[in-house]
Amino acid sequence: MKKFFLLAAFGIVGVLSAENTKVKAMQTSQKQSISILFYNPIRVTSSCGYTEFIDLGGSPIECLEVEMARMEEDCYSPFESWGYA
Amino acid sequence: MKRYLLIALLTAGLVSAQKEISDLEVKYMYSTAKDTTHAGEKMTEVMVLDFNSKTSVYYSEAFLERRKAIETQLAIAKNSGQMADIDARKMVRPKIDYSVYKSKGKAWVTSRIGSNLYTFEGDSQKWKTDYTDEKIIIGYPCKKATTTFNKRTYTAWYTKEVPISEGPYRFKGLPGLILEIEDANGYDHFIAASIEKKKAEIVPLQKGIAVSRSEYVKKREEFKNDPYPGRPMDLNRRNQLENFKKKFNNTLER
Repeated sequence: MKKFFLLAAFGIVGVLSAENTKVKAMQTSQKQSISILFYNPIRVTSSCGYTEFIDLGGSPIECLEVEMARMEEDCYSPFESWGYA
Repeated sequence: MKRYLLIALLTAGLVSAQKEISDLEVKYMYSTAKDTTHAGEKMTEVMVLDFNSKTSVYYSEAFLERRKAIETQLAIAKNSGQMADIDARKMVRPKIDYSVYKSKGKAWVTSRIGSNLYTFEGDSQKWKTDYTDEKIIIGYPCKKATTTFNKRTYTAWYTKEVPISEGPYRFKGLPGLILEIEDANGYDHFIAASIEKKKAEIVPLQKGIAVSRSEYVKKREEFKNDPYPGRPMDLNRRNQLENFKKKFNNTLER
């Protein structure tokens, strides 16, 4: 019977730990999105000196990277910096 | 019966609480010919594979370096209260901007086409391993294996000293880590430069629009044919694009 309660306790702790992680992750993402909104727009200068102001609007960092890659392509040509799979 | 249920609950609870943490990091030197008619002219990039026995992520070292630099600039802006200033002239420029995430036997490639990121799932490879050939790569004894991948024959060298079924790009499925792999024509070549212990969280670095592999290839070819649909362009620029389009004929996905 003691083993039964011990196992039950471990199970509950495990599930609570998982839920706690999810809550923390949600809180972090909410904080990040607020900070990104506050600091937009972002001034981006390409390697050929062309500057654009990009408003991420809370989008993830991949969006900024994609825009930077597009600006680099504008500097040269779409195929000069070919890195597609 | 209740006891078994509790054990299952315990296991499920603990597993869901865990993050995937890498055990090892392999750095590969990847060289690829952009133009198969000039296969001697190669583009090279250091690629990184972070992995454990279940999960991996594969990316360009320069790509991650640039991402960290961008994050630093964003953090500086946040702390100073000023507008973030990202200057590509002061940052490393990655030549490869796709990444591969593998988990539970599946592999997802995320790659940019124009202004969009796309994610597609790749199929696994069937390997022929009944070879006696052996060689040493960065101190590890390796065995030979071959496979057909996207209509090309590849020769891989894998080591059982690292008994994890992993490799660069989408390659995996051997009873050990792939340390070298090259297609029969020598257009694409991956060779391990280092293996080190590394503890880092394994997460997909990019998430794109979900498409099938064939849809991705179709979209990429459409982009090659018309990179700037509807955009006015002078004749010289158009000719330059046409010439580049003809030259860029070597991709891993076909």
